[in-house]
Order: sequence, then C-alpha cells, then structure tokens
Amino acid sequence: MDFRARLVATLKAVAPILAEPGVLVIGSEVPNLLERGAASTLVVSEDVDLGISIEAHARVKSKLGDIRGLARSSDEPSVWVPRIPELIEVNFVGMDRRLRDPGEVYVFEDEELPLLVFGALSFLRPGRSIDADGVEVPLPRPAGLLLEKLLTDRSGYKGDRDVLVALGLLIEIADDDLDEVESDYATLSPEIRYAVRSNLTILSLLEPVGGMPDPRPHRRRILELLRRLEGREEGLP
Amino acid sequence: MSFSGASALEKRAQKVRARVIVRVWEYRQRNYAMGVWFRLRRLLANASAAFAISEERASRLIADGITPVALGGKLHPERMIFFVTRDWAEQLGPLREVALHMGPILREKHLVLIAMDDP
Repeated sequence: MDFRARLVATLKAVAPILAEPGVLVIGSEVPNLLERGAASTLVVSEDVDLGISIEAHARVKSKLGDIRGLARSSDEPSVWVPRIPELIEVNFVGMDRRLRDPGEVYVFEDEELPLLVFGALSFLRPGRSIDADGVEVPLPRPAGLLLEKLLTDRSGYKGDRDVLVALGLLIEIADDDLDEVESDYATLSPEIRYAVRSNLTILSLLEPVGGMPDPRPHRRRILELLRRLEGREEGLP
Repeated sequence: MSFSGASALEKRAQKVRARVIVRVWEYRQRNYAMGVWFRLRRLLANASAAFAISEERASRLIADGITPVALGGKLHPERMIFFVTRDWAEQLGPLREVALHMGPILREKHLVLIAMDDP
C-alpha cells in the first residue's frame, strides 16, 4: 500500500471529524493534498495533523467514537495511533484565534481530548476543501500555513521538515496567496519577522532530503519571497 | 486526563516556550556574531552559483577593482567572497563549482558567486 493510499484511508477514518466546522487538516500533508488529485508526492511524513479550533472542541469530542481503525495513544493523549497498518498516525492540535503571539502555547485540558494549543496556528484560516477519493478535506488558506511553517524553530530534522513543507506550499500557491503572506507578515513582531526571513535563507541553502521537495530548482522563488518580505522592512540594506 | 498524558503535553508546551526565548535572544544578537550566519545565508540566497578560486585569482580580482564582500572578513578564518558576472567568471578559466549549501561553502577560503539576477 503506497503512502497516498494510507493518507487517504486515514482521512476516511477521521471523516466524521473533518465534517465538523472549525476543523482543518494542517501541517506537512497539506502540500501533498494541494497537488493535483491529492497526488501526495511531495512530503512524506507518517502522520496527519488535525487543527481543532477551541470553539469546535466539544463537537469534535462527541465524534471521537466515530473514528475507525485508530485509538488514542496512552502516552500522548492528543495523538491517535493506527490499529491497522493501512492507516497513519493522527495528531490533534488546538487553534485559538484569540492568541495573538505566535510564540504562545498552552494546554487545553480535557479528560478525553486534551490539546496543545499553538499561537502560530492562529494564522490559519479556513480555505478551500478538496475531494480526496470521496472524502471532503478542509484545508487552511495556504498563506497562513506557509507563514506558520516559516515560524518554525529549527531544531534538527523537525525544523528542516517544516521549512520543506513551506517550500511545498510555495511551489503550489498563487501570487495572490503571496500578497496575503506579505500582509500577514507585516503584522508580526520584529523578532518573528527576522525568524521568518532567517528560515527562508535556510531553506534556500538546504540540501535535498529524500521524499521531500528539492529546494534547488526553487531558489529563485524563495529569493523572490524573501525580497518581498524585506520590502516590508525599514532600514534593511 | 491521566497524569502522564497531561505531563507529556505540558512538557511539549514548555519546550516551545523555551524555543521562543531562544528566538528573542537570536534576534537581539542579529547585529553581533550570531547574526553573521544569517547575513551569510542571505548573501548566498542571492547567488545562483558559487565557484572556488585560488588565492592568486582572488588577488587578481582585487587588482582588477573587484571588492570582496565585507562579510567574508567577519568569518573565522576569513573568506574572500566576490560577486562577479557570469561573463567575468568565464574569463577566469575553468572553475570548480561549489554546491550552494553551508557545509561546502564554508570549506572554501576564496569564492566567486554569480548573482541570481545575472542573466
């Protein structure tokens, strides 16, 4: 069974959750799903992140019993692990629009579905849904997700993966989305804007990683985005 | 929520908070030594190709009026990095291309870069 089949099977397994307003598929699978026919050739990571807005928490919790083939992990209560090899792991993470600081994070405590709520996810806004073999998959607007991935703190492989997910999005998105990235960027604090630009330079020089998009043919696009963002800065040489 | 579950999430939250503190520190350091790495990466992001050159060739470029970028002098050991046009690079004769990744770039003491905007 190839990766795409496992990804789609997992999305089918959590379809009752995906049908709830306030739920988005976020994270590294989005570039895969944005490909034509959700081809899933770009970024292979063995999990799916589901962003749950805090307002949707109670409704999502009431649907957990409808999930098939996955079970809550005893170690990580917001992670659901596959009970059959045809599925991949699902991570529930919290989104709270009230958070303004992307560095803010808190634990939304709940016996059944606790969530780690990340301020950086407050950039995510509902975008279009795609049809993945009959499952309607709600995705965020790419601009917010791109910026969220560029806010990543680089700590080894996870950091590289995040900026490569950003690349996967940068390859797929339209110029209108870049306008949105630019205007969202302008709302950030100076240190976070610096982190975003810094991560773009890292992305520009990353060596290719198997199963991930290769930055080398897209270095010009990365530079263009960097220049657009620098255009929003005062006092840069 | 079980104690271990709550604790696992809280531990992850603490790690994220710690990284935020590091990020703020890195920003404050941007004009000092830490910031050199960012500025070097930014410089390289402008380049479409990099070539290693000998010390002699570097000296010849300076004699021809091409100034190395100041940032090279901030690295230890110092590097001489020049931006030249592709035409100019071709006049330098056969050159060894260096991959535009930090590791290979830092192994070289003398480099010419071709700007991305160079046709």
